Amino acid sequence: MEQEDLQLIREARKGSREAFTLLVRNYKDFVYRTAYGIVQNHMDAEDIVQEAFVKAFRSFRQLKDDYAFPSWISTITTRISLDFLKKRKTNFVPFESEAYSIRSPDTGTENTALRLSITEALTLLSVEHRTIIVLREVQGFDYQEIADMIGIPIGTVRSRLHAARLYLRKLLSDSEEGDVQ
Amino acid sequence: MNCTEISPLLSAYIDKELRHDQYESIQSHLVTCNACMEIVKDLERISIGMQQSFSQLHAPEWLEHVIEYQIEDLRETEQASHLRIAAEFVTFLMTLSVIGILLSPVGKAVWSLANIASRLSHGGYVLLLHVMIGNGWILGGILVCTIVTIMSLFAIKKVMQHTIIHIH
Repeated sequence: MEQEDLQLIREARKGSREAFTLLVRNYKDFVYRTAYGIVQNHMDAEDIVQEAFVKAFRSFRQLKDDYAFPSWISTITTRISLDFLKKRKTNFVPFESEAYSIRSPDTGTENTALRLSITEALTLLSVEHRTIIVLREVQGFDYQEIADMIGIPIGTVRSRLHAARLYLRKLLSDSEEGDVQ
Repeated sequence: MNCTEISPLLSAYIDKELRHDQYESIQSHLVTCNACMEIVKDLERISIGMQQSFSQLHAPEWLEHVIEYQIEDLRETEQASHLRIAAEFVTFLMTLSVIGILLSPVGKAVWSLANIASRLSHGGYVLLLHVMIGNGWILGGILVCTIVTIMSLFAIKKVMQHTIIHIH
């Protein structure tokens, strides 16, 4: 975490609205990626980001360690996302066309094809597997942090993450075989 | 360790979430096992692919402003709520004070003086005073209502000032 963010977190904890606004600016993409990774829908992810930051603002005093802000805000976002999906009672959300439109000017065609396939395959995972793989691959949390965030044993994190990756591998492999045929 | 034992640990291997001895066992196994090495390469490829994919994903710019407005609304609501609680508390304290004064020696003395004055004058304005003091709760009510009105006006003024500052 950067020194500037730490300073903002300290000021926001004291009640500075300006500092919190800057934190929102610095962390909105981070939170958005978590929410989108789990719910797989842009509009729902936007609503979840709003709810997560408002909740964070209200309960900022509960943050014990300034350095833990990224995992704390991710925990809030993950729980809101999972509650959202629970209310909706669905594991599968249809793949959105916008997700396919993600383009990087400096990456080759092969990478783009791979990336799109991964994004598509991600929607086919269960919510439990998707949540863990997003927290690990996208946000870079270690196994213990993920276990604390979701409230499951570290062994379960390890096995679920491995199962999720193997399932993604199988989906991508089947997809490539289909292309060849 | 054979492939069956190694396989469940391959994710933890690429994440460096294994004990040192487990890590070394897998490393030496991978040198000789092409099948497991292939899985490791695929898992690493998926990992990099996901990171690249999500790094291109950005929250809309407007989201920042919407959150800012929501937090401002939240602060105003909380502020108004705090003021209302403060006003109710002050009202409660004032009511207790008025009752206390009426029941205190000072209140009893005022009551006795009013009785004497009423007997001396046999009516007129003092009778009105007697009636009013006889119904002490009316005076108390008037006092409390006046205080609550003043406090409410003060609270409204504060909220309005805050809103105007925010708009500017």
